[in-house]
Amino acid sequence: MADRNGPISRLPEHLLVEIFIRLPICEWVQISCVNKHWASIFQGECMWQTAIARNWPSAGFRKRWPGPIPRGSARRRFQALYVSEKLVLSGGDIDELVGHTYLYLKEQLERPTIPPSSILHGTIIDQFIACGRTGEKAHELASKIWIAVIDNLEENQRTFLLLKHLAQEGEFFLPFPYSRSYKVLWRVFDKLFTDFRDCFNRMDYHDALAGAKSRFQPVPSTWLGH
Amino acid sequence: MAAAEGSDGGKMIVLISADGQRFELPEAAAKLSQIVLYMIEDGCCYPSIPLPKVDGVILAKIVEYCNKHAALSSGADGSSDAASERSKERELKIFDAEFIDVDVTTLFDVMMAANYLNIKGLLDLACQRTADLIKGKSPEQIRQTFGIKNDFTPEEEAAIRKENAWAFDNI
Repeated sequence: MADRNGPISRLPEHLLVEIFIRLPICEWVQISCVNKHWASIFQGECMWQTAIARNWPSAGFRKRWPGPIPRGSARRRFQALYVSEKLVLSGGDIDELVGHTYLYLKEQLERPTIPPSSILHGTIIDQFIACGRTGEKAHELASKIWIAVIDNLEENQRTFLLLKHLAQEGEFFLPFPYSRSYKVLWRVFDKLFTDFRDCFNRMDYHDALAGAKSRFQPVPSTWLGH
Repeated sequence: MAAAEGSDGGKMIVLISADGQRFELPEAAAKLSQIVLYMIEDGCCYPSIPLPKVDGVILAKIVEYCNKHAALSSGADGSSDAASERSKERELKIFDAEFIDVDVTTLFDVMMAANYLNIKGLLDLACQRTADLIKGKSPEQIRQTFGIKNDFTPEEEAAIRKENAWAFDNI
């Protein structure tokens, strides 16, 4: 029988899944674009459950956790595990929660209206504390996640406005670990004055620079455009 | 009673393909298929095992694979020193590579048969081979390799690409 879509169209879905999970994750985006059938496999649960079992066998048994950030579908869990593995080189057990927090923060920052960053930061801290982390550990992880998310925002006008907003947000004097991280704020200014320098008009630039100088002295020469 | 004995004294099993061809192979080789193993354990393998989903051409390949792997599996000939184990492993690797170097139609027939007969090693081999054929290719090259029709509009394809681009976050 001549198959309209070649002999590969005879394979049942679970065998296509077995093939796909043997390819590097960075190639999955290419595979998902081949045709509608293949794309639908990347939208289903089977693919992601199988991929989790293959890549992180012990993650399958993990229970749900308390706290405000949900775990979600197998697809989301896979993404979270993937992010966790890259973000925290623990060498042993993968902390799935780190990845979920990353995905949560990235989504929040991509929304049309963004909650104050102190609220987002507080939610992340609460989540880690609810799952048994100390205040110090929660703060350290939250800073790491903020920086990773900021580094992965698309380079466009929207991101410029977001960073400008984060830089100008007033300080609320919250107790540790709810206080915002200076490392994160540093990265916000650093990106604004290097990657997004051309987006500024003169007035805005000087306002932002004044804000930076009030927090960081001395500011690096790259921020001054040297 | 058709429980024939092979030249080495082991029991022989007879498999019958969809098109009625007979294949006789040692029990140790036949048992590589989980399905056949269950049938042997349940005693329903005599005088022969019909396999109505596998045709003769493909079953011949499957039998070739099972014979080779059973013959070279560890301890089959009683020897167990590390050097001979390694050389057997090498031989199997070379055999596997040549065995699976077939056209895609045969490759998928073998994969489906390995799936139906539940021969894990062979299923792994066929899936890995297919993955290697896909590796490093653009969607258009993948379509060409397998004769797949693109049923996306450019907009749909762009949307799917965006949806699956998360792995490119530079963490």
